Amino acid sequence: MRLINYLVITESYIYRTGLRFLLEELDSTGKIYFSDDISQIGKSNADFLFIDPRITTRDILEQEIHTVKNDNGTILVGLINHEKEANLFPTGLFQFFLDLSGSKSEITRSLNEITRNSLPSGKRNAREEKLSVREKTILRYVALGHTNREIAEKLFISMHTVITHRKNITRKLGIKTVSGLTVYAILNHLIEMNDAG
Amino acid sequence: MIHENTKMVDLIHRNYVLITVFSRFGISLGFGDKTIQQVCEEKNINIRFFLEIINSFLDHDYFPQEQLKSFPIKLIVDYLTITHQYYLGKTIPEIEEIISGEKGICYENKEHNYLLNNFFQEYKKELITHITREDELVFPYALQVEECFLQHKSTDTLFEKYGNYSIGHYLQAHDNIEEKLFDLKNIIIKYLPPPKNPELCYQVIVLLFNLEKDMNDHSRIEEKVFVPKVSMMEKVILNKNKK
Repeated sequence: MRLINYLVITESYIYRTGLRFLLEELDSTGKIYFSDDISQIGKSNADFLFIDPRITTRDILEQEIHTVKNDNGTILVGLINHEKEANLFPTGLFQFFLDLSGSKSEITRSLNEITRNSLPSGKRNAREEKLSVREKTILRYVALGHTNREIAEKLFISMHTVITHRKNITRKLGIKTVSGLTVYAILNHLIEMNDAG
Repeated sequence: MIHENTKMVDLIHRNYVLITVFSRFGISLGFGDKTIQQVCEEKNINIRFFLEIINSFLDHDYFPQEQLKSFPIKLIVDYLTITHQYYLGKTIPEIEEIISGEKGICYENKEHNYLLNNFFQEYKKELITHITREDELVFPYALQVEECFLQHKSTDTLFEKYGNYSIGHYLQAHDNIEEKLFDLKNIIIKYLPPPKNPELCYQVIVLLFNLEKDMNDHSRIEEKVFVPKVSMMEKVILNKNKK
């Protein structure tokens, strides 16, 4: 259920600004990183790598791509200017191609297809925002002024778990600070105004 | 890309928000057909610096770090200080008037007014603390570092006055001001019910978004230009002192 992160590897200013614009319009987009260095693909933990094949020679490209292939399920997308260009690459080098020559709605549709179908089911529906019972409990404690450590002790869970819950709460509600969460908790009757810490 | 022969009026047609940036350089209206160069000469403004600020303001992917770093710290500090004054003297009172003023936003339930006002006042307090710290500690410190650096002065007085302070501390202290502003927007947009006078809410939302954008540009200059420049000079003078 977390957001999707992208790394775009290209030197082209037009590709960068264009992709940033379109990706930011997708609901599920988290962070977008840019680089002009192909060797970054081994170091990145983005969910999707958009690669402009013109960034380097064919040999280096294939070499670098093979280094990432086996690990963490990163999805490689080749950026092309015409659908026929896809035939220039060996099958399997890229999982997808994104043809950048189309209209806005065409490119957005391709982007949606690429991101939606290839994610593990947990990552779909990035916009489900309802708090779980557990999250509500934790939110209540936060609003009452308790620290993460105190909450962990009260609920017999680890600090790490508390922090994960808090990250999820913040993402779901779009509220980052403790005072903001307190306002939310009062407005939604999770605590009384007089209780606020 | 904006260059010295661009007309001032064209700049504003391109992005009207620049009016506020101009005002920080002491430039007002009535440009006729004057170009950037003409106006900068008249007002005695460093045109290279002006162009870098305008270009990085218009395009976030444009960031000429190296060039901006070649300007004297005084120029950057002056610009940042005036921006601070603008926030505290103009933007914040404008928003406060709508959120907390007698003729401001009014909710059916008084508790909602209290919550919003309370949250805003907390934000304002934090912002003032943050800005005061920069104006009274960080900027004077940076100016003195530059003085030591340029005039090869001893760092004794610097240490006397600021102890072991370094610009690195400043980065650590760059705190959650932005987060509070983000929350304030969402509280009004998502969580409070519509007030009796929604047009005031629309108005304040526009102000908050503008403030946020402006502050992002402001922090970009602080973090990418100001801090690296001071930190570079710190290293040089500290090394000299050791020898």
